[in-house]
Amino acid sequence: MPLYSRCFAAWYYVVHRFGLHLWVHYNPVVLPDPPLTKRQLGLVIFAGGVALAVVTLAVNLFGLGHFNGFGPAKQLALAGAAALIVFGLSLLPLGDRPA
Amino acid sequence: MSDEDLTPPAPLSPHSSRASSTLRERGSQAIDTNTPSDKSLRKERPFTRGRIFSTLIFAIAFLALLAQFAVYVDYAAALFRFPYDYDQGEGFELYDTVLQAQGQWPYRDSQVFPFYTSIYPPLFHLLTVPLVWAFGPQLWTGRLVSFTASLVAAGAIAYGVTRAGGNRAIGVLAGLTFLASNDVFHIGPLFRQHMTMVTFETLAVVCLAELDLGAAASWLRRPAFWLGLIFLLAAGYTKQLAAATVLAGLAFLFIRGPRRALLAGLGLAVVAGAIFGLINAATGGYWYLSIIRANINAFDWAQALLLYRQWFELHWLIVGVAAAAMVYEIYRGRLSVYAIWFGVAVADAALSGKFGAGESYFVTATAAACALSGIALARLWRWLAAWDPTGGTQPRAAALGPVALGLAIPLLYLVQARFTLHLPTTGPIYGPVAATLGVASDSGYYDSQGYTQLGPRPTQADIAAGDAIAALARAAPGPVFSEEAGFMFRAGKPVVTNPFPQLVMYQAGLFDPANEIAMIQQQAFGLVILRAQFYPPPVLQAIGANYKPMTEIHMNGFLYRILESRGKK
Repeated sequence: MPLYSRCFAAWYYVVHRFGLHLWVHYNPVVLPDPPLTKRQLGLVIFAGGVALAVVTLAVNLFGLGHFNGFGPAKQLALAGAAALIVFGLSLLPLGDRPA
Repeated sequence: MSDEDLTPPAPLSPHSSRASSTLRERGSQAIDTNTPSDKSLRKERPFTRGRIFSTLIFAIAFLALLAQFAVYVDYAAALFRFPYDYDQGEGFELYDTVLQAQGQWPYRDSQVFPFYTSIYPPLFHLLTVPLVWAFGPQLWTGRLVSFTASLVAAGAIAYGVTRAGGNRAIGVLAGLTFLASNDVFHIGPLFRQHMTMVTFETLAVVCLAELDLGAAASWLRRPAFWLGLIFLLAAGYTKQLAAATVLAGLAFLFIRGPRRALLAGLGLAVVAGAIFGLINAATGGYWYLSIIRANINAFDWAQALLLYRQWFELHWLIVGVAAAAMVYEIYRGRLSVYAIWFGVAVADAALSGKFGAGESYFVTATAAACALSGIALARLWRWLAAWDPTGGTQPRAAALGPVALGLAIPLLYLVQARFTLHLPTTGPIYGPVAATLGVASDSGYYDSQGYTQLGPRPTQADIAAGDAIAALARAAPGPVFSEEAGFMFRAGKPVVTNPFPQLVMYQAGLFDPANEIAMIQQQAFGLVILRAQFYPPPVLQAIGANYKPMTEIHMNGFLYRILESRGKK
């Protein structure tokens, strides 16, 4: 039996063995995907800022990269992280309005 | 002045566009549905003094921008006739196109003869390939593609503003303002891929903006969604700088539907990654080396800040309006793809501090500023037209806002046009115009930006100078070591070396010039043509040791040094 036929047979067996074909039939995949709110967007941006700051400090702490010390690039990254954190925080009070 | 004098101007009013009514019919989120209908407002629009003034200023602004567009067309036509490099690097992009027209990739080992590689993605060159097949290796082919792309970008901005803002007149002014920008003017008709990238970016954003307009439907059933993703992919494969717009587009989708955006981003990454992998495999890994590693250059903040300042001084009116609109959308309204694009593009322009970068890095930000400011002004006008703080008791006072804005908007575009003014200052037409505008100069060209290498039209003397250099190259024995490839196409010589990629790859430790230096020491090149001397220092030292000055020729304001062999030692 050719390889693709064996793959198809295996896939068919797994789907029917575990009843996945019924699940797909009775539960069509229409997951809710609402737009972000201002608060959620603020949290995402805040988290991004924190992550950037942590990565920058980790690079400095563990001596990764070509250069040691806190040079202009790392200062810029930290400044950017601070700006993202402040920007993210400023969106939190705006609540559940659509972003 | 009667009450009627204060009613919004009719043909250019916020309610005049067919698009606005279409949007309202579709229940758009972008348009305030509380605004009066076109029919009801039309009754309030007699020919009044305010409307006449507004129409007059709109017409003057339109004519001013149209005149600036005529200068752009004239400049482009002059470049189409000029057969040599106007901007250094154009000839090498033509060579990339020629290689692709022959079914070859330009991404190769630059350490062996002819010491050539390209550091740009292929799409712009592929778009130019049919013209090269039809007309041969001519610089006008890519210049025409780039110029056409700039017109498409302006049209897309005008369309986007009309769709989202509901005002065709402001849309047209926004599109013309884009073309009138000094940066667009300078690079629009060049054989460079940048403008085509901006066009794909603009088309992508305009398509994605459609998701906010019209009836709600699955993204999968919206052609605008698929077109947006395709244009984002095209922009990235035209020039790497488009990554910022890709980020902006995906960020917009993420805000509207995080799960669907992640799937779309994943799909885009798979397709882009597959293309990347295929080209990399076809070029033996030189694609990755040339496109990614060779583009990591030294960064100079002072250069970036200087360019930011220059860009802001030239465009501060539309940039100010766009920035205000962005802040409004962040904290009061709903973030549009245009606002995200504007913010990301302005931040991305910081890459102009890279070695070899320049004003062109701001063209995307200019396009975004033109689009967002146009939409903001159109919506403000619509909003003011419907706004009556007196509750209908004093219609005259309520109408003051729209009338004032009806005068202020065209004035803004008129003043913006003056900020970006550029034109030749000699000749039977340009001379008197320049004198009237108070910008007459002996240099033959005025640019509000100040000194600029790009902008003045090449002259017959420049063509004669290029012919002289090409004749020297043609007469030289063997290959010619030229810093510009345009001469080689005219001289019928092979293109050897690509200086800028060599220099940046040498700085990054990716280029060993030993083989090239060996050929220079053997004086294997019949002639050396230098302009900016953008070669690795050891190469320049080898040239100095083995070649002597033959002559110097001026072309386009630059000094070309022609060197001949010192003779075998």
